[in-house]
Amino acid sequence: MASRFDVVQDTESRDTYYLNMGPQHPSTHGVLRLKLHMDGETILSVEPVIGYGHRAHEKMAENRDYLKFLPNPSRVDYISGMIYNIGYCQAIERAMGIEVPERAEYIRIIANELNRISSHLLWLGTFLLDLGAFTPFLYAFDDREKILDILDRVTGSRLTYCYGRFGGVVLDVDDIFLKNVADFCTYFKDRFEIYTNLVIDNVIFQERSVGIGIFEQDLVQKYGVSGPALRAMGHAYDVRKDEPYGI
Amino acid sequence: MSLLAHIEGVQESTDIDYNAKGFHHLHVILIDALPQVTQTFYDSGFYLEMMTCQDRREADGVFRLVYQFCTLGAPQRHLVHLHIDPATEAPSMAHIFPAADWLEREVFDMYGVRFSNHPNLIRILMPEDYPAGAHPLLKDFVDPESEGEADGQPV
Repeated sequence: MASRFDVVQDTESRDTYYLNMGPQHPSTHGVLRLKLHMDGETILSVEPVIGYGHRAHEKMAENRDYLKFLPNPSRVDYISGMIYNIGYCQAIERAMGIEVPERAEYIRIIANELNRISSHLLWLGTFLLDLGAFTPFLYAFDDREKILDILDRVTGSRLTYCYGRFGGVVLDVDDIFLKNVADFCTYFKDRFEIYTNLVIDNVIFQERSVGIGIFEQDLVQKYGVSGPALRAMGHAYDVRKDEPYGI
Repeated sequence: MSLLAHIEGVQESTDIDYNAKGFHHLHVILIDALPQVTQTFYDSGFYLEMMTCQDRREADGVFRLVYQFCTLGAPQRHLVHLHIDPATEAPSMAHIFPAADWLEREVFDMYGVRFSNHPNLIRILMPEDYPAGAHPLLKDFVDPESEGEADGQPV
């Protein structure tokens, strides 16, 4: 008996077939299953099965009080856990009218932006890895590691941060943290030139990415495209400016 | 002047304190008004930011469907509430906003609410061989695969 993971010949055409890909596959970066309808090596259509990453955070939230749920949000996206953790704190603060001290707001923004850079470095590195470029991946992870070290020192975690608290953050930062951040900013600015030379100006990278995966403009409204994908479509949208949170 | 004032079946439109709630307007509508309301938001340049459901059967005997429409740029956010009887199907909005396709599948998967004219109404997060009729976000849900307590006691 054929299992649902077997290759299945299309009944309507001799040239096409159905192929299962995943849920464990090196290129999915996690667990994702794709049911592919193939003609040779060309994908005619695909149905993603996304539930393998589902971890029932909603049901957990339903059965806990707000404070007990605090460690969960950073597990929703462990690549940018700080942003989820603090975003959750801000939602509760907004609903309850809790004010956050100015110092804590600044600490949160610094921690958030560091986490955002480390998150971007991860997609940049792995995206290039998927394109066949191994070296930039090592550069990106080297830089990302420096951010993780800075955040590890003040939060005690490397990925799944639980640094925010309702009304502030759990621990204050010290002068060493400020120096580490300032040093990293200086260091990282110099790295831009390396990334530009190594990646953006690289003809192989351009051949493999320019003109691939074009979004038509009506997708913005139909699907609610957001983030880097939206900006890549020519919309100067930045949630930090268009709907500011914190300071 | 409310965006939806001319539509029959829009029961109530209220301005909301954005600073406290994060959205600007709340509309409570009847099920028959949903297609026209959704089309109006589409024609006015809104996108469907979020759609979900609340199990209010114990309190009011209904499911509340929640649609959140938002504009690009500096956001204007409209929340639409729609109350349906648990036995009723809601019309699918996937033909206007394709984003609704997966969101409606999630509501079906988690709450068992069915959507008429949906292109592919199957479970999205739970396994495809999960017991029919088991919908995890229902308040009276009991995990069919566990004999003991579900995670966490109600608090």
